[in-house]
Amino acid sequence: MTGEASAPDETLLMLYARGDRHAARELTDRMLPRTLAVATRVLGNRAEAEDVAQEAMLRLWRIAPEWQPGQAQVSTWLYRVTMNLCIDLQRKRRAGTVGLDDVPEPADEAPAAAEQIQARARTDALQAALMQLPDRQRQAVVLRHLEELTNPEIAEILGISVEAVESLIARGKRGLAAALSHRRDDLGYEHG
Amino acid sequence: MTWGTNMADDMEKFDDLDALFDTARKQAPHPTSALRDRVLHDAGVIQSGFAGPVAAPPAVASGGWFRQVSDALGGWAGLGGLATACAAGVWLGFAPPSALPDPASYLIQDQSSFDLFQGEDLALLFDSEEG
Repeated sequence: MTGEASAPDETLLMLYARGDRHAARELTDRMLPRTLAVATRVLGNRAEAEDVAQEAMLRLWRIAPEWQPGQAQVSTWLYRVTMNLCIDLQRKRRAGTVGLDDVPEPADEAPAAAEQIQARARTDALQAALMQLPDRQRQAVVLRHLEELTNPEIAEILGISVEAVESLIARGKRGLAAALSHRRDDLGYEHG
Repeated sequence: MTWGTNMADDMEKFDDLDALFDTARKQAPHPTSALRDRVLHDAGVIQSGFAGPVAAPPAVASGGWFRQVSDALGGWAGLGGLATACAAGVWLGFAPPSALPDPASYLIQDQSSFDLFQGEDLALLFDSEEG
């Protein structure tokens, strides 16, 4: 529907609360990819990320009738819920109530060219390095450099100051550089 | 070349993070159709449980001052009622019921007069000056 395709997220959410099924589809197509992407990067586990994304969207549907216009951006609210769900899951992991085995992402059915193979290797290397960071650093780096949010947005999502976000990102990037420093050659980067 | 062990040295050794982030963004995981179906199923189940009217969503875009005034008066129906009331008022002004005085007669009087000083008062004034 053309009107809904250009409608703000908040309007779509209120239309959904009034029974508009098209609004649910439009919101899902906008929000689910972002939610899944950030959960996958933070958790490093596709199956868990899908569960988190589905739960975050479920909470969005539930809150729709009580949504107060102007209270927050829908995307920011959803990122915050997603991050909190990831934190809860990571705590359960440490407590030993959730398995740590990563489920590999579905294999790409298209024939992989050499460039695609290298891009996949680089992305996997980055993901492995991200998983070596402390949780908060990983969340901040993912939101800043993969979701391309601003530092104030990240501060609102994580519930910390902008200065703290800057510090987390700086330390996170140093940690990534340290983790990746020995992989320049096999990732196809030349020494500068 | 000797690699240092502190993180500042690591940053110098691996300065392709921005390129790596760019590659990773292009390889972002996409939802499967199965996940999308599950999410939409949830949306339908939750939506079917909503009872009663909820607040109307805000307008997508405003249509200028005329649109805002029109909306404030109740839309075209409100504007129509306002125009009818105005027309009735004008008509009553020019053709009032017989039981009421005709206000038009006040408007179309061709002259009016008012004596600021009565003639006798002026005469007394002149008489006193001549004394």
